[in-house]
Amino acid sequence: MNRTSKAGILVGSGMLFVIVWEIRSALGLLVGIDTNPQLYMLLTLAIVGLTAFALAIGLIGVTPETPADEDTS
Amino acid sequence: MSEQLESGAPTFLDDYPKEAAVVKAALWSSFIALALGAVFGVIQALHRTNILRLIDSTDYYTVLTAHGVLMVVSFTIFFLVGLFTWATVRSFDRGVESIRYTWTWYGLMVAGTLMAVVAILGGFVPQTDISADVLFTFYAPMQAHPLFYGGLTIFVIGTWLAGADWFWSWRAWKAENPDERIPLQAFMVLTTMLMWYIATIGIAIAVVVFLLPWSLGIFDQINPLLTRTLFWFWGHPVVYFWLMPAYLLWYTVLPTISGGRLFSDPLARGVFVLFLLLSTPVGIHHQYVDPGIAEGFKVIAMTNTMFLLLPSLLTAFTVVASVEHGARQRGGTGLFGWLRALPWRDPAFTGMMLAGLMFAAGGFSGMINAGMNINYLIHNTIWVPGHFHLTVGTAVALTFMAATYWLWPQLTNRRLFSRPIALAQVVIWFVGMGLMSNAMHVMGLFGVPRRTAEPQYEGFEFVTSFGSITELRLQLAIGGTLLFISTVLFVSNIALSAGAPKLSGLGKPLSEPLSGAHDSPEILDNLKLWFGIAFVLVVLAYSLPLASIISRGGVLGPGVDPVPMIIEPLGATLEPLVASLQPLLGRLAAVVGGVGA
Amino acid sequence: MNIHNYEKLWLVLAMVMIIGFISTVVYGATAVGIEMVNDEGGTIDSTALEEDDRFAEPRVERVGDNEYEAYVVARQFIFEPDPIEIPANSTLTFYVTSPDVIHGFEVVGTNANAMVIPGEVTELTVELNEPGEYGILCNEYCGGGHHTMEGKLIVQPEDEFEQGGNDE
Repeated sequence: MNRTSKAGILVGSGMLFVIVWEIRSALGLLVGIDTNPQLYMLLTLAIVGLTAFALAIGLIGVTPETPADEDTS
Repeated sequence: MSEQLESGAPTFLDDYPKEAAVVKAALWSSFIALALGAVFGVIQALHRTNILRLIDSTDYYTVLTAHGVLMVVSFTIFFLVGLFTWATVRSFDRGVESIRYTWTWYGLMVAGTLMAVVAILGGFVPQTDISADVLFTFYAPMQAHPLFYGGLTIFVIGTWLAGADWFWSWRAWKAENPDERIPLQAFMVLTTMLMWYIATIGIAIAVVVFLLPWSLGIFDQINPLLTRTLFWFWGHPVVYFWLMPAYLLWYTVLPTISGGRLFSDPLARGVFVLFLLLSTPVGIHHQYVDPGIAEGFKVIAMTNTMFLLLPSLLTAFTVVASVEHGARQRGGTGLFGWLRALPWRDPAFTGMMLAGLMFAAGGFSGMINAGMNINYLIHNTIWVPGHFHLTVGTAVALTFMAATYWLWPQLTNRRLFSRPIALAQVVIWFVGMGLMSNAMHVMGLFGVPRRTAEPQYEGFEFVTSFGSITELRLQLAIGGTLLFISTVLFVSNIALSAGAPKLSGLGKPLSEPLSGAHDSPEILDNLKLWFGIAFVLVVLAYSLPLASIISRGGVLGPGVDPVPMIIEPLGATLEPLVASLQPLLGRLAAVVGGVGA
Repeated sequence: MNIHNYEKLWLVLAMVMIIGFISTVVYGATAVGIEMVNDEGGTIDSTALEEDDRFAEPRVERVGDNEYEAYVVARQFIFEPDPIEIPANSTLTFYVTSPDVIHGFEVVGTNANAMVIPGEVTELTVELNEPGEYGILCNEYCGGGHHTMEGKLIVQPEDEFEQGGNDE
């Protein structure tokens, strides 16, 4: 089983979403590139969704889970 | 799966049932404030972005006052006293000296909060003259009802007595263990309280000597720059008062739940000593663009503020190092691969890590605020709330919520209602804050002001360098809504946990540091010394500015009349209507306000 | 007390960063010449502004070649004078005070941003080079009508600016 845990996908997706979305502000403020907000949001969601999907089916995230990962203490 | 949750160890409730009751009461007070604060928060987020205006814009400021006071005074400080009571009792391994005394200070804090909240919410009832639409900063000559100042005073006295309770435990413990080092958690509690005693001198003088008698009409003039400066004397260290419980959790609980041990006990002690020394002599950095304060004083505050970054930077190192140690203990390998071995499924762990991550971002925006001349660009813009929603609003709030998921079962002997919901809750908070705070920072750079019901003006429009204000407003509102949902999930998860079956053996012992207390120099535990130095630093930083302000404007300041923040009655035409329709409300108002309606 | 090598390295880097920050601020204050609002504006009796020769009539005055002074009163919930008009390529010093509560004075989209405190006079000097219109807003909560408190700064092309003939 090379699949990432559901919890990992949830947490990772949240972080990835925030990071990718905030790059838009950095592009706008620092580089002066004005991206289309709707398009950028769709792109962000697509990146997050595809990454989550790929993790869920085991396409990426190849390290097997350690037994410790199951521990929820 | 579930049996792994149980260590078999006795819980805090098993060992100290009387103290656990106080801790639970304090945490519930904190969560009620959080829930109310969140309702007011989402109303504001939707109102100022012009997406949904449920209230009149004049009432926005009542809502804003309530949001501010409930969140940063009630939510944070009630959590603090609960957590510190737990930490003191746990780390000394002895009950409080007098449980009746403990309940007394808790009772005072509740009474003070209720008084202030009644004064604030009176702003919604035009039939009373009770009102406190003065925001969290209550700058004179805006004047609130005496009930507001009185409530604050009683609340702060409650915190002083709470601190005395923990010092009392320390003395009793020390008498029995004369040669032992102060346990780390207790050390953190005591240094934080020393910082608090110094910091509250400012607010105590501002409120008790000036604002309260002034609101009672004993004198009618005030020096607004003086009370404002005294406010910030307290107003900056109070942010560390919010933050230190989170640091205590990051240093002593997070390493354990990540499966490892704290990297270094001496460094942790050193960090808390630095906070005691440096938290207070920096308050003038909130007044970089104030008239009446010489540039030199501002430079000193700026320099001190920059050095105050040091303990936080050291914390970032120690916490990450401890977590990495935990991950490697759990079998994690590789330069970054160890990250995978961490217990991301645990809402307590994930919540604290996400909080820490956002704190890093908040730290960087704080460095901008601290940069004296860059501050011109963002002073009093919505950038500033963007900043502190990352620090107190996430680093502190999310850590508290995450820690509750870990601590609550040990206070109740009941498991959490739902761990998956808890995990989703912390992620929703992170995403919501990512959106809201990002929008706030960006809008701030475009000049959009903070604390404004309708930042839409007739004579001009804000110019954006990318995107549009409309889009940023939408982003802010979505973020604020997610935060509200997250709060609801948190509070209901805790409430529903009351229905879970009683279990035994839910205790979770904490691991010992890798480099223990015996490694740290004895001098770190010399609290009198650090208190003395901290006091001297404050005197050095503040005596000249305060003397200068008083010599300029006088103690009571010439020629500044009070401006009571009372919403004007709805107008003579409405009064007969009100009188005929609501005799009951009028009587209620008379009782509450002590005036004839 | 043993300090791990990584810890030492981190400590040194943190100190370098802190000193770097302080240096940039000091550089901005000295080499770039960004002055802070300070105590040089003096104090004033805020209940008697009408007796003060600067603030009885809020106005803009020419005090030299391309040098102007604006005496501004920020009160619930207006700025006076409104608009403030000035020619391009001039240096403008604002003197701002308040007869009631604390206000903010922010020229939107610029770094002209200061607090206005009753009893104190805020002094703030800005360079105005390009013609244009700027909004002015109050960025400190000052009461129920706070969100309506706004004004305007109009920088006119030099050849179009009317002197008004009152600076003799």
